[in-house]
Amino acid sequence: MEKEDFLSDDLLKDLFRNQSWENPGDDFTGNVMEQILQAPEVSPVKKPFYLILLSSWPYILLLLVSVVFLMTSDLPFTDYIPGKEYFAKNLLPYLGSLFSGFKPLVSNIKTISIPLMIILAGSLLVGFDHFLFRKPDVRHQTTH
Amino acid sequence: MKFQDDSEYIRRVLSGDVAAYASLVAKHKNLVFSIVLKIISNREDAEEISQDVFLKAYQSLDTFEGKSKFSTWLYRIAYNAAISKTRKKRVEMVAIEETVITNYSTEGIGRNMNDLEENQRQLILEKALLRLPAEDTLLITLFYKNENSIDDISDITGLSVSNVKVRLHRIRKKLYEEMNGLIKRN
Repeated sequence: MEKEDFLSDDLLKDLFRNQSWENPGDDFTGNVMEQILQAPEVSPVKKPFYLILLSSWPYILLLLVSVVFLMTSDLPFTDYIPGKEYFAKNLLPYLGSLFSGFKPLVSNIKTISIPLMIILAGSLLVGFDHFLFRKPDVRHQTTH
Repeated sequence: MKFQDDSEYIRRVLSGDVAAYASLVAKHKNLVFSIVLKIISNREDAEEISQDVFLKAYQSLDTFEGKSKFSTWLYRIAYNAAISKTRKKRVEMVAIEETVITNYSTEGIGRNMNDLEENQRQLILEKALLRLPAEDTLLITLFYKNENSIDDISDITGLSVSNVKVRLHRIRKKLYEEMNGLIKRN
């Protein structure tokens, strides 16, 4: 009998083909699904805060804030930064005009400005929280 | 019931549709149960272990990388669960000694088998399989019944490809010997 004979054994293939698989109980699938649904669900794990440092966004933001700070500050050594004067004269007014549209919006609703500010600040915090601590892979997870 | 491709169910489960997993269970339950039962030989225990297999597969579904077929991945979990259960019971596998296998002609056995009714042929195969060690029964069933490739069986059992080939060769010889004996006794 050759070592590779088993690869082309039609007799055994025929015999096995007519064999039936064993069936588990009728409620098998239901029992499995019940166990899956009953298993305690793990609350989505929030990313640790320090992981935000692995992203490039904080560094870009920090760079932008630093540039604006240095270009607009009156600190003596900042006078030597090349292009500071150009920035203050030409770019700063445009930067200010970006936010000028919001001015009338807020000034016209002075009576409710404090509650509105609280709501806005709250919304901003919720928005930031949602953005910074996005759930890694929200789906039904179980512990065992 | 007509089933979709496994990858479709997996995609749905991973995107939060837990109910889609029921289709995967329904599709593979017979084979998983058969694999476990061949090793465990007790229906009640096999059913319990098979349920655990599906639960474990669900919990680690996000680690399934799709390098092998889902069925191969699932059968490997089933095989390992069943084997670890039998090791707990300290069941010793009987090694097949090639020296005890007598000479016979597969053509002769084939002719003798063809003279029998289909139900008798199946009975002889079943009886012969019962005389083999559980793990060997599983290997030969995966190969001939489930038509798993040598590579698949290697993935499922953790045996090397060459080891799977050698074992299948020996198991087949042993199976023929058992069938031959049963035909002669009939």
